[in-house]
Amino acid sequence: MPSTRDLTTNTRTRYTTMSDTPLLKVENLKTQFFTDAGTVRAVDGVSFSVERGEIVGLVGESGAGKSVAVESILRLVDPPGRIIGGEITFDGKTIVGFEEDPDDTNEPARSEQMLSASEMRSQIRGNEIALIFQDPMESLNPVFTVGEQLCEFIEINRGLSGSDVRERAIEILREVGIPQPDERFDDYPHQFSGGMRQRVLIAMALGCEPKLIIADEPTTALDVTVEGQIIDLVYDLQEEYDTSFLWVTHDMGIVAEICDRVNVMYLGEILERAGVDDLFYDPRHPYTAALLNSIPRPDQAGELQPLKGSMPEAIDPPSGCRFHDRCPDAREACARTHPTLRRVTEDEQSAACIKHDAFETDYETSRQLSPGGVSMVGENSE
Amino acid sequence: MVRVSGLTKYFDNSGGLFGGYEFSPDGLSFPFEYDPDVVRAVDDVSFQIERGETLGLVGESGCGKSTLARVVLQLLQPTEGDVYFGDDNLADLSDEALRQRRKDIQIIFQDPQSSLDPRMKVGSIIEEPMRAHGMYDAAGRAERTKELLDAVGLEPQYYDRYPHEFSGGQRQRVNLARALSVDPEFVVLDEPTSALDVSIQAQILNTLDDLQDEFGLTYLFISHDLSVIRHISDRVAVMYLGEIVEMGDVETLFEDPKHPYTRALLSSIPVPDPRNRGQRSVLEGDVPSPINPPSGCRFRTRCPSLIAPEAYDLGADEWTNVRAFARAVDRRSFDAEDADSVYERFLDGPLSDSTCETVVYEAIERIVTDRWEEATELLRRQFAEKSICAKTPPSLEQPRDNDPSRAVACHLHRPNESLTAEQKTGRRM
Repeated sequence: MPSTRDLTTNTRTRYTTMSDTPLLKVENLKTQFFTDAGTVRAVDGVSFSVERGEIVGLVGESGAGKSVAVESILRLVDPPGRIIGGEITFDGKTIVGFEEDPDDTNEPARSEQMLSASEMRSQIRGNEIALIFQDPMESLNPVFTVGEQLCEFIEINRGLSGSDVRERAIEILREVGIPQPDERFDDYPHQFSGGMRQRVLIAMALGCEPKLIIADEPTTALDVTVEGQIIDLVYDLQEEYDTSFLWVTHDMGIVAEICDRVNVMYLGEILERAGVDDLFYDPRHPYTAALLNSIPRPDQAGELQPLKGSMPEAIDPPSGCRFHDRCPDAREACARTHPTLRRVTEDEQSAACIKHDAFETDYETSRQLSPGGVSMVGENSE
Repeated sequence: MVRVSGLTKYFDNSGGLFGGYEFSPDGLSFPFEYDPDVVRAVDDVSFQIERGETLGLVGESGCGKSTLARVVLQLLQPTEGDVYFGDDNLADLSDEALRQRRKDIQIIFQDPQSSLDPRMKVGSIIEEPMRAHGMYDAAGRAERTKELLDAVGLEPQYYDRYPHEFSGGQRQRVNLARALSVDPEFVVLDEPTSALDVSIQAQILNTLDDLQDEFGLTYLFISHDLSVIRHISDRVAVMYLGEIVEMGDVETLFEDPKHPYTRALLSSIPVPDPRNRGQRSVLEGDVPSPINPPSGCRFRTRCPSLIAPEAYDLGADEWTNVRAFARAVDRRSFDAEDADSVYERFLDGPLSDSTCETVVYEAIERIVTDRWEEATELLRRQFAEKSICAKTPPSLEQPRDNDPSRAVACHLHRPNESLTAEQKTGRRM
């Protein structure tokens, strides 16, 4: 997708006031599963970035490829799955890097900078990038106390030892709001409620002061009142540690509540990327609009306008635009032309829909005509 | 059409060989004690549902929603209380009469996968209830099944397919068709859309609406999702720890919630609108265990508007500070260095009630000497347990403004209750 890549480079060069490179940059990532039934293109040419101190949302229905994208970033894709292309850089390190693949063989050569499996384990996972899962019970070992698990984690990742570890662990428990932390330290996971278990996992994630926390539906299994507590906790901690978040969710309410920028995924592709306000008030892709129309709202009653049908299998995606067979605005050309993610407004909003194909050409022309255009964009994006 | 009165369901652990016995060696007596734990899953719940109406039942996990549904359907025997369906008390019916009556009452479960037999074709799945109730002949059943498939938005030719060939949303539609096959009057929907994606959830909710109009159904819709409840219900009952704390028409309840728990629930949902950022208020703490629920009002341990004890003469702000102090002591969320710094941290100045002042001092004294538990106990006895909320369980009744369509179980809204001025101002959220 040459146009996407050009666009991101353009955007970045204009971001002069921000830090030079984003913390996490995913470019044209492709992860496929080679199953007996055929090749599942779970993540197919996805590009996005997370800046320092930013909370970025990755939104989509189940089967959109959100979790596979996350696994790819951590290089945890299990066979028959394999990352077959693209580039992921994190804080100057190359997590995934492939040489150009001129013949499109699906077997591109690894680039030399790509971290080895043991480097991923010792340098990246847990240390620099932490992951919080949906189910807090499954992520904790039921036969060890919460304190032991937290200590083990701190020892491995922070290199502390002896009583310092225990002290630090209790301090962390208190920080994430566990009542009576010195006593709860010796409890087993089953003695904790779901919300408290999730707090412990957040505590573990923070225990090594990572630069990026990937949260994969961390509040989905929790009740609303507890979900609210967890979101508040994340907010406070984010301010304190200035951690970046990649927040994976299907819940638009949470997206509106915490994300700065949002990527909307559908069937292995990103269909729209926008700042949170633009996404909710001015969605440019028909899928985003439809998704927003199908959520019942707690603050108002009203008709729901659901999308017809359900998401097709990634093993045999529709031709052309992958959304065209469910799209209310589909035209004839949508079945033939595969749209690429390109910018559709002057405010860093991108959508992959042929409706907006004209925008970029017009925009580029007008920029060349008026020299003031460049600085104007810079102001808007900040 | 459906009337439930005083419905109660307790579970205990007295079953089994050593059930209910606790090992407690003291060296003197027989080291086992018989002390079964009783889980008060549903406690004295009453409501009624009119024909053609949808009652939404909302609450957090563990509040007893699903137990209530199963007791209403007589899938579980109630410990106490009656369920009237039409004119029959379901508890009085004989087994066979109850089986016959079940034709009119159906349930849809949360997980559309596990509620369908993977080895049966969709056609036979939908026909099975009709066979069990001896409805139609084979050809008639097949024909009706195809009509039903059409009614729930599936293709009639899916008749010969297996459940695994369907998506989650389609499976839930098959469940719907099966429930409708015996012409029920009343359908209990237990979290029917929780396992589905939002766009599919919207489709199912719309289908439920259409089916209700078409077949004149009455729904009991159980969900933890307030947005869904608001969308589908005519009336709403809010449950907390086995009890209904508030009930009313959907619009009035959502626009003007009375019970502090309802308010807290409503304000803690993330609204899909970035303009509402940071406007949530969040309840502290977790739901207490139903084995040993708090005395009086069960919500009082988390309630932001706990009423100040009548015995003390405290201003609203003072009461708030005292409560914040008691909570912090209970959670041990701060380090105690010396008495003065603790005092200054929580209290703005000397309390207007001298007894309270003494209690606070005594508590702080215990904290700095590292006797946290004693301090917690003292504060609990002297403050929380003295509130009317801890002494008397509030009953579910019409609130003070006498709107007959709603009921609230909260001391703040009791009719003819004479609260002091302080207590009234103290109940701001």
